[in-house]
Amino acid sequence: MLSQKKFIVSHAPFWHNGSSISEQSYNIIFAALPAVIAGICYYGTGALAVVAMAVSTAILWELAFNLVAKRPISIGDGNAAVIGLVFAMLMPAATPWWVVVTGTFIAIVVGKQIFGGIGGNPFHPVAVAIAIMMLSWKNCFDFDHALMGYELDFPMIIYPLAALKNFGVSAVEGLTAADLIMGKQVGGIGATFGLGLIIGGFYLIIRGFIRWEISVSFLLGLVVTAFLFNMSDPSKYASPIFHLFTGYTLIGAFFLATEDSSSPVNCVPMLLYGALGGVMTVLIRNIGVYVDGVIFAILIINLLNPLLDKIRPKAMGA
Amino acid sequence: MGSNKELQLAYGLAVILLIVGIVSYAASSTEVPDEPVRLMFECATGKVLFDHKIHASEYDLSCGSCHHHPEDAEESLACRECHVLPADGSAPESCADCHEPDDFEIEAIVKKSDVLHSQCIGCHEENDAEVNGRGAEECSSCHVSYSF
Repeated sequence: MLSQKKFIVSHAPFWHNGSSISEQSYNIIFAALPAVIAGICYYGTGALAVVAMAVSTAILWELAFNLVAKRPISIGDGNAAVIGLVFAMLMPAATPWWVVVTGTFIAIVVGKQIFGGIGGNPFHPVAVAIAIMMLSWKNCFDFDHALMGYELDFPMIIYPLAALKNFGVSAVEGLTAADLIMGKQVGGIGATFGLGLIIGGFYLIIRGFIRWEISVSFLLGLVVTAFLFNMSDPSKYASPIFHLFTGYTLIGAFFLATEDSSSPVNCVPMLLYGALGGVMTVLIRNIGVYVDGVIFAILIINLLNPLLDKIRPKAMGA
Repeated sequence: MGSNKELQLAYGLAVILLIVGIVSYAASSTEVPDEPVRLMFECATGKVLFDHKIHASEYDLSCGSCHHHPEDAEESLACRECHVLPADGSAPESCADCHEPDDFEIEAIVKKSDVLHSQCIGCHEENDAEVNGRGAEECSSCHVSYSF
């Protein structure tokens, strides 16, 4: 029994298959581009300013930390650029420059580098930054406040989740799934164009850069929970379709929950992790005090990640 | 891609996007519309989002329907310039621009919240059926408790 060969490795030299962190990073950026470009088309130079400033300052903060901490320069792996881009996607257009610079500092230094850099962060760096910014400068995340200078050609010029929370289901009845999925809704620069996010997410899943188990279970958890609430009282709780295509749902499912370092590695934990995220999102939206629950739901499942990864196959021979 | 090329790409991205960001911020700051599109009134009972553009263009209201004084001013004054009293109890500066101190009583200046309440509620009560059915029966018809 003990002499049975379980794992055979050939002799050196080995051949690297070409896969690298930078390849993953630039593919994530590529996948996010449709949603980002749509945001820039809707909001103009204000959105372009936020995106460009966020990506640039995220790279520069990482470079600065590398130099101060006397560690190898790690900006080449593209991870800082990804963090900057995802951060910008969640922000409203016309976010002041100092908010962007502060946010990318929190994401890169507090959310990532303090924990040892890439692979060491227990929480998604962007979720950490957004949560801190949201609680510190709440007007920056009040999309109605932030975008009040914009003439928007949308069916509704109020942030849908805020309208739902404050005025009830009747206030969002005029919104169609087609409008929502095409990004004709108030929201983050890269968080509203649902079709682009879905295409980007599928691309990343097919190329193997993110795990389908997390994204699919996140969306299923959200849809099923929203459906149960909606069935219990349709006049009080919005439909699952509404929850699916509004707020940070899709960007959360494809770009936040799937981050390598803060998500589980085994199949069952991944399914539980994603599903819990979806459930928590709807619970916060429907009975919590926040308009959108995705950021806090992501942080909670990040926290559960090490615990969930305890569910793993038994070691052979144990 | 070699690590040197990766590093050069990151440096290039950082520099180019920093320039694009600064230029875009400079350009977008000059895009302020002449008339406000929407306004957010902040008060203790919750913010109120007011769509200035819809009220001005779709409800057939003249500027004088809301901005009442001074009638011949080249630029209309913001409500707060007269209806928010300084903390020291003195008259607002904008009043003293045209009036002598004895011409008016500070007690007679209506607070901004009262002005807006009477403007909004009064007009909506008169035109409720014609406007959009959002009367002013409850504070939560306009004031929001949750914003982020």
